Amino acid sequence: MDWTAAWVTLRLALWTTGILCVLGLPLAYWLATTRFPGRGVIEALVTLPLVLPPTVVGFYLLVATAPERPIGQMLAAIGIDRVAFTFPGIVLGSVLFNLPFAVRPFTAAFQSVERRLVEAAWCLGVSRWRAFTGVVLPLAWPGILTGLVLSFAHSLGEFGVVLMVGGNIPGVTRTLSIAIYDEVQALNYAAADRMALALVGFALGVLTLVYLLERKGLRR
Amino acid sequence: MSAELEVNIVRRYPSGFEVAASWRQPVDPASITVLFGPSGSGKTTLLRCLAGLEQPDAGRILFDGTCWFDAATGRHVPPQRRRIGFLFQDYALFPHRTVAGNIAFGLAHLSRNERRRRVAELLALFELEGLADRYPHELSGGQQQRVALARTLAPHPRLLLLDEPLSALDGPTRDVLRRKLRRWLQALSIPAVIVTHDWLEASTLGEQVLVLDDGRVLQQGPVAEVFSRPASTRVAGIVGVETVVPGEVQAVENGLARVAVGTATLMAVAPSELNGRVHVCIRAEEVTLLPAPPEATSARNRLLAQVVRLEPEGALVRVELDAGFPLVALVTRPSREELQLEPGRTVWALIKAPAVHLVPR
Repeated sequence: MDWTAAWVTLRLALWTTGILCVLGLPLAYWLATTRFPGRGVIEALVTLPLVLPPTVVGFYLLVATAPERPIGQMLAAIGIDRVAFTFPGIVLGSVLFNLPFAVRPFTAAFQSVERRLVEAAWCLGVSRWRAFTGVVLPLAWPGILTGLVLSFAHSLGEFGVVLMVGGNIPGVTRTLSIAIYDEVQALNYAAADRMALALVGFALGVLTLVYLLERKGLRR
Repeated sequence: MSAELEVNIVRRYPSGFEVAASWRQPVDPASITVLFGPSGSGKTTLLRCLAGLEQPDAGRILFDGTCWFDAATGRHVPPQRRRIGFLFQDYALFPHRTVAGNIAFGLAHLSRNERRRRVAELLALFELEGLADRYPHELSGGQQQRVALARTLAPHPRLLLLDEPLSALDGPTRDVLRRKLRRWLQALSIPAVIVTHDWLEASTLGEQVLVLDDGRVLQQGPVAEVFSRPASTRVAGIVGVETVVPGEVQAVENGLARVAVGTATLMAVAPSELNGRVHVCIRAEEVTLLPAPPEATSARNRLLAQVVRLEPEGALVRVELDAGFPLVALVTRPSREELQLEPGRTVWALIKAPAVHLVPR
C-alpha cells in the first residue's frame, strides 16, 4: 500500500469537497431561484465535465492557466504561481471535474424547498439570511450532504485530470488511482489489487451512507 | 395623517392579465376587508402585493402614514420591514420545526425567557397546549391552521393578511374555526385583509367587501349591503344570490315597487332611479316556506309555489320552486320533514320587500 499516495488522495478529496461546498452552494442556490434567461447556459456549463473526457478538461485547464494568460495571472495573484505539476493544480482540476457531482444535487435540493416556506419566513420579519439558514438549509440538508459525499467519493478516484495537470510526482500529485496504474504497468498486480480493493471498499461504504441519508431525508 | 390602510394598485402580467383595486380601511380602530371572488380573479395577487411578496406595476400603498409602495418614486418596503402577518392558504408550516419552534421563528429578537413566555401565551390562546413538541405532520388540519395563526400573530403584526384561511379544512372543523376566528380577530383588534370565495366566511368575518372578477373590482362596500344588494347580475352570481330573474317594474308608490316577474307580482323596496326592466335578486335564506297561507305577517310577498326539486346541502336542503318564476329557498332538514316537502307539493313562500333586490338591466 502506497501510504504517501493515499495521503495525497485524501487531501485532494477534502480540498475538492471543501471548495465545492463554498463555491457550489451559492451557485446552486442562484441556479435554483433565478429567473435569469441565460440560466440554461450556465447549467450546461456546470454539467459539461460530466460528459467530457477528463483529458479534455485537463488540457484546457493547462492551456488556460499558463502564466502569460489572464487566468494564470489571476491565480498568481492569489499565490498559485503554477498549475502544472503542482498540488493546487490538481485540486483546481478536480474541482472543475467534480462541479456537476456537487452542484446538481445541491440545486435539486434547493428547488425541493417550497418557495412559500421562505416567503412565510420573510413575512415573519426574518432576514433573508436567517430565512436561508433557518428554513432552506435544514430542509435541503439531505440533498446537500448527498452532493458533498458524491463529490468526495468521486474525487478520491480521480485519474485523468490529475494525470494531465499534475503528472505523477510522489507525495505531490501521485494519487492512489495513479499509483494503481503504475503498479499495473510494472506487472505488480498484488500491490495494485490491495489499493484497488481499498478504493472499492471506501467508495461502497460512502455510497451506502448516501442512500441511508437519502432514506432518512425522505421520511420527513 | 389618519390611521388608515390606503391601497391603490395595478399589477400587470406578461400574459396581459391585469389586477387593479383601490380601497381604504381604518387601522385604528381595526377593520376587516374581504377580497371576494372566484379563483383566478386576482384576490391573492392583491394580498401578495400588500405583503410585499410581489411588486405592483402602478399605484401606491400607504399604511398608517408610512409608504409601503409607490410606483412613482420606486419605493418598495420588503416584507420583512412591513410588520405584517401573512397566513398562507395551506399554512406553509415549517416541517422541520415543532409547533413551538414554528411559533417562535419570528421571535428571534426577543430574549430566551420572553420568547418562551410569548410562545406559551399563544399556545394557550389557540388551545394548543400539549402540542408544543409535535411536528406539523403529526397535527390535524384544524390544529395546523391554529398553529399557523399563532405563528403569524406571535411577532405582533400591525396588519393581518389571510389567504383563504379556512378553505383547507373539512366542513365541521371549518364551522367551528370560522366562529373562533371571528372571536380572535375581534379580541386582538388587528386590522385584516381576508381573501375568500366563501360568502359565509366573508359575511361572518368581514366589514367591507370588494367583489373581484377577472382582475377587476365589480362592487365594493359594506358586506351586508353588497351581498344583499349586488350591483349587477354578475356580482349576484359571484356572491351566490340563488334567484336572479328578469322582471318589469309596473309602478312605484311610497318607495315600494311593484314588479312583474314571470306570472307573479312582487313588491320590492325601490331604489332611487329605476327604469322598467330589472333583474330581481333574492337570497335563498330570505325565503320562508309555510304549509298554509299565513294569518298575519309583515312579509309583503306571499306566493303559492310548487316544489320542483330538492337537493341536500350539508345541514340544509336547497328547494327549487316554481312560484310563477324559478325561486330557490333553503330550509333545515327538520323543517323539510315538517313541511313534508316533496316534488309536486305546493307551499307558501314568504319574502319581505327589502329582501327583493332590483338591479337595472
